[in-house]
Amino acid sequence: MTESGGADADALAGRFAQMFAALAQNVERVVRGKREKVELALVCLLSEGHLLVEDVPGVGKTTLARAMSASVEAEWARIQFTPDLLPSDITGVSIFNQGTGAFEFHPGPIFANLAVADEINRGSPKTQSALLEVMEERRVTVDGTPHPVPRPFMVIATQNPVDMDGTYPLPEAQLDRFLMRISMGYPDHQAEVALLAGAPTGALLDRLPPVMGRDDLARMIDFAQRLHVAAPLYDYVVRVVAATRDHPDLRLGASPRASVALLRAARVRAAAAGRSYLVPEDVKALAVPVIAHRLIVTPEAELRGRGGADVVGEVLASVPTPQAAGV
Amino acid sequence: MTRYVSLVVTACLSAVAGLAFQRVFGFGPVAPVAAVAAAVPTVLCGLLSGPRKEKRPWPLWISLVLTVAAWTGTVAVTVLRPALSDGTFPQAVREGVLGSWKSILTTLLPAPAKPEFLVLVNVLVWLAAFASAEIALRTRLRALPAVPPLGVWAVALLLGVDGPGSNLPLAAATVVLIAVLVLVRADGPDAGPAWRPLLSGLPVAAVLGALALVAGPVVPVSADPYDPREQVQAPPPQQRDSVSPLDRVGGWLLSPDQVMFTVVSKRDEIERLAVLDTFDGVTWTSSARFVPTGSRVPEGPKPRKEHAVAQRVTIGALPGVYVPAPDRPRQVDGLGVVVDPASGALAAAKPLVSGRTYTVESEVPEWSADDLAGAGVADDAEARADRRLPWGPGATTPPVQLAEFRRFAEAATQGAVSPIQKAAMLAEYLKRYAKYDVTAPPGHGYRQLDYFLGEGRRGTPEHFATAYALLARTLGLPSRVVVGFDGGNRSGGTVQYRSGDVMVWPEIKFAGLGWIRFNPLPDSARRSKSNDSVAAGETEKKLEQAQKNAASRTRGSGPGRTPQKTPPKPAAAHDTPTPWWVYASIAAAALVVAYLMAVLLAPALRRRRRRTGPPGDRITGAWHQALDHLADVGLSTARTLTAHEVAGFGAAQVGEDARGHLGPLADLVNRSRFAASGPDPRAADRAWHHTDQLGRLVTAKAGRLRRLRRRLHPRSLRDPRASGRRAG
Repeated sequence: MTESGGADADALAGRFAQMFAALAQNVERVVRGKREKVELALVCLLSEGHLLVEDVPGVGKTTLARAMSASVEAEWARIQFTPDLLPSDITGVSIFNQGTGAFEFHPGPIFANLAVADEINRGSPKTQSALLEVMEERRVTVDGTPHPVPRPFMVIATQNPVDMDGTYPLPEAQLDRFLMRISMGYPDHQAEVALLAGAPTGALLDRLPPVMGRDDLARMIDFAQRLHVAAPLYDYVVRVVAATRDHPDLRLGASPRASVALLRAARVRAAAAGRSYLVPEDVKALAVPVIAHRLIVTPEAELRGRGGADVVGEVLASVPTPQAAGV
Repeated sequence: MTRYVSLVVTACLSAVAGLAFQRVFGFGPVAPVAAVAAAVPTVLCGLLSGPRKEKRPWPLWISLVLTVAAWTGTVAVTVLRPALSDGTFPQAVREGVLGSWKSILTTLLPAPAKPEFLVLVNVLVWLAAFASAEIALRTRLRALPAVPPLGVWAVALLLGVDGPGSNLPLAAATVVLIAVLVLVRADGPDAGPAWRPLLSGLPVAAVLGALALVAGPVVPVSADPYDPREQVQAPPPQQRDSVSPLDRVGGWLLSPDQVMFTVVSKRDEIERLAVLDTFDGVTWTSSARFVPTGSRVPEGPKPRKEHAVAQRVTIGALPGVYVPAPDRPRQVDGLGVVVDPASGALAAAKPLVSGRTYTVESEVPEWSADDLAGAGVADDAEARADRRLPWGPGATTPPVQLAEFRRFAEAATQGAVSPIQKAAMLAEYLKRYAKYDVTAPPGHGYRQLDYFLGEGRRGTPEHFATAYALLARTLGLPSRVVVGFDGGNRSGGTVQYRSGDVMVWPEIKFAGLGWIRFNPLPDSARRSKSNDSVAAGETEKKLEQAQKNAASRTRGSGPGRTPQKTPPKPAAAHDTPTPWWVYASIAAAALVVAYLMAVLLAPALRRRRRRTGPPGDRITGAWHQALDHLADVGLSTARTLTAHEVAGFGAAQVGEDARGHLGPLADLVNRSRFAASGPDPRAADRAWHHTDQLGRLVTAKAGRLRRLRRRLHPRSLRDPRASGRRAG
C-alpha cells in the first residue's frame, strides 16, 4: 500500500477495507455488540491518535485495548492512575548502574504500542501532564535525553464520569490531545447473554490470533493519510470547526488541532469504506467523537443540559455540505 | 423510430397550422406553400439527426445554418421565383418577412395572393416545422413540439379573424394531431413507439377532435373575436383629397354643365360619392378608414330586400379621389380603390383622371314602410359619435344657435313619437320651409345655417342636407351627410352625370337597418335644375313613399305606445362595440397561457440543460434532478445533508425501492465530486437512469396531481440549485 490515485488507489482502498474489516471482526470476538465503538477505536489507532473512553467500569475498556494490541501483534501496558502515582511511574526513570558507572534509563509502561491509562482523572495534574509530551511528540524526555516510543503508539485513557470524588478533571490541553472521545456503553441484551454463554474473556484474549503485524499496520496508516481529499472538503472541515468558535453556547471552541484530527480520522474512515477519496459523510460521521470533547460549554448552556455533542450536532445541521447545491 | 414518427406528426401539425391562413388567402394559394414549408425543414432535420458520436444529433447551429440556406433556396424557386428573375429577390424577401403582415392587416380579406404576402406564410410555417422537429429530436417532452405550430395558429387567427370561411375543421385536426403526437412520444425518442397505448389512444384523439369541432362555435369569444385590424390606423380621406366634395357643391351647381362621369346601366340609381359623418362646428369631414380590398367590398347591414345593379363608369371632369358608385358597392374592377368598410365609400388609390373606366356591381337596398315603421334609433359607438354637436374649433361656450336649432327641430317634429316619424316630419318640414336656390351663399357652419333657417330660407342641397343633419342631431338622431349625384341625362343605356346633378342628402342611422337616406329638398329642386335631368330613380321614390307611410302609420298611435321593432340580433351584434371584458379576458388568458408555458417549460429546459455537458456535470445534473423529485415528497432543504442522508430521506419517504436508486446515485455523485479521477460517460448514464427511475417512483408515490400542482407553482421558474452549481 504505497500508491494512491486512479484505479490502483481504488484497489488499495478495497484491500484496506478488507483488512480493516478483518481487524474489527477479530476485536469484536471479545468486545461483543460494539461494532461501531470498535471501528471508532480502530479508526483512532490507524489515525495514530489517542482515545479517551469515558465510561463506567466493567464495560470492556481494557478488553478493547488488549484485543486491539493482540490483533496487531503489538505490546500493551496498563497504567492504573491513582493520586499518588508519579510521572516517573509512567515515563520511566534513570538509575545509576554501579557496574557501568553510568545512569541507565529504565522505560516506564508508556513505552508500549497501546498504553491503557485507566481512570486517568484520578492521577494528579502533575502526573497527567507527564503524558502531554509523549501523546503529542511520541517521545519521553528524561534527564534531557529524548526516548521515542514505539510505533504504532496509542494511549487509551479511561475515566469514570459518575464517581467524581477525589478526581482531577483533565485540563483542556490534555483533552485536546485525544483524537476521539467515545463511550462504550453497556452491551445490549443479546450481546450480554452471548457474553455469559461464551468462553471467559481472558481466555479468549489469550487465544486471539493476530490479524496483521505492526508493519502492515504502519503501511495502512501511511496509505490512509495519502487519500485524495477534494478542495471543498478542506473548506467544509474548516467551516465545521470554525462554527464552534462562534457558537453562543461555548466558552471555548475547537482548535486547529481539531481540524487536523478530524481530517486524519476521516481519511481512515474513507479507506475503511473502500474508497480512495473522502466524502462529506466521513467528516460528519466523526465530527462528534473528534470535536465534542474539545469544547467547553458555558455554564448557562450546561444548566440547560446542553453538551459538546449537542453543539456539534447543531453545527453539522447548519453548515452546508459541499455537494449540497441548495434546494 | 419514435423520433421519426414524431417528425411526421410535427410536419402535419405545421402544415395544418399553415393551412389556417386560408381565411387570409383562400385554400388554393396557401396549400402548396404550407405543404412545402412544413415538409422540407422536417426532412432536413430528420436527415441531420442521424447517428453521430455517442448517438447524439448534430449541433443545433449546423441545423440552423442549413435550414436558413434551404429556406432561401426553396423560397427562391417557389414563392418568389418572379422576384428572382427580375432581380428584386432581396427586397421581396425583406418586404415579405418584415412588412407583409402590415399590408395584410390593412387589406380586407381575402387578401390577394401576392408572392410577398405568401412569403410570410412560408417563413412562419418553415420556422414552426423546424423548431418543432428540433424539439422532437432533442427533447423527450411529449407535447412541447406542438408549441411552434400553435404559434403559427395564433398568427393565422389574428390575421384571418375577419376573413371568410372557418378554421374549425383545421382546429379539430390540430387537436387530433397533438393527441397523436403525445401518444407517439409516450416512451421517449430512444425507444420504439408504444403501439398499444397508441392504438387505444387514437379513438380518444378522434373524440377530442370531434369535441373541438363541436365546441368551437360556442366558445364565447368566437362570436366577437378580437380583430387587430381595428387597431390599424388608415390615413384619413382628407389626406387623399384636400377639398371636401361638400365644398365643391356650390361651384358645381353654378356651372352645371360639366360632364363629371357617364354611366352605362339599365337602371337609374343615385350615385354616391362621399360620406361625411364628422361635424366640427364649421365643416363636415369623413372619419372613414380606407383600406385596400383588392376588388371586393365587404357587406354592410343586410336589408330585407335589395336589387343588384351593374354599372360601367367612365370618369369625366370629376376631380379628387372619391369614386362614384351606387350604395352599396360589392365589386369594383378596373380601378385600384380603397374602401371604408363601415360605409362602403370608395376612394381611388390615385386621383381620378378623365377617361378612366371601371365597372362596379352594387346591391341597392329597398326599404318598405314595414321595415321603417317603429325602427329604433341606433345606439352603437358610431351612432353616438354621429349625435355629437361640437361647439366649434377653439370655442369655450356652446354656440347660441344650438338652442334655436333645437327649438326649431322640436317645433318641426311636434307630435312625432317615433324616430322615423321625427326624421320624416323634419324632412317634410324643410321641404316646405325653404326654397331651392343655387345662388345661395355656400357654407354649412352654425352661422350660415342659422341664416339659412332664420332669414334666408333659400339654399342649395348643401344647406338643406347639413341643416337637416344638425337639426336631427339636436333631436338625438344620429345623422351624416352624403354627397353624390342624382338624375343625370339618359341617352339609351348611357346616363351622363353633370355637375348640376350633384346632390347632398342627409342620412339617419336606425338600429338594425343602418343608414337611411332622407330628402329634405323641395320638389322644385329637380325642376329648377337647368339641365334636362331625368326623374328621380324608382328606388328613391319608393324610399320617400315608404318614409311617408311609416311616419303616418305611427302618428296615430300616441306617445309612448309606438311599437318599436326589436333589432335583429345579428345586426345588433355587428354594431355593438367589443366590451372591455373581452379584452380583459383575452389579456388574462394570454397571461395564463404564458405563465403555464413558462412554469412547464422552465423545469423541462433545466432538465435538458442538466443532461448535457461532461460526465461530471451530467452526474451533478442527475443529482439535482433527483433532489427536485424528492422535493415533491417533502424534501424542503438538502443544504446540510450529505448525499447518503438525502438517500435515506428518500427511502423513508418514497419506499425501499427508492433506496436502490438513491444509494448508487449518491455514490456516483460523491465519486464524481470528490474522487481524484473524473467519471466516465457510462457513470453519467447510470446516474440518469437512477434519477429517471426515482422520478417514476416519486410520481407513483406523490401522484401526478400533486406533482403537477408543484410544477404550476411560481417557484418552478427558479432553478433552486443554480447558486450551488455556480459555486460548485
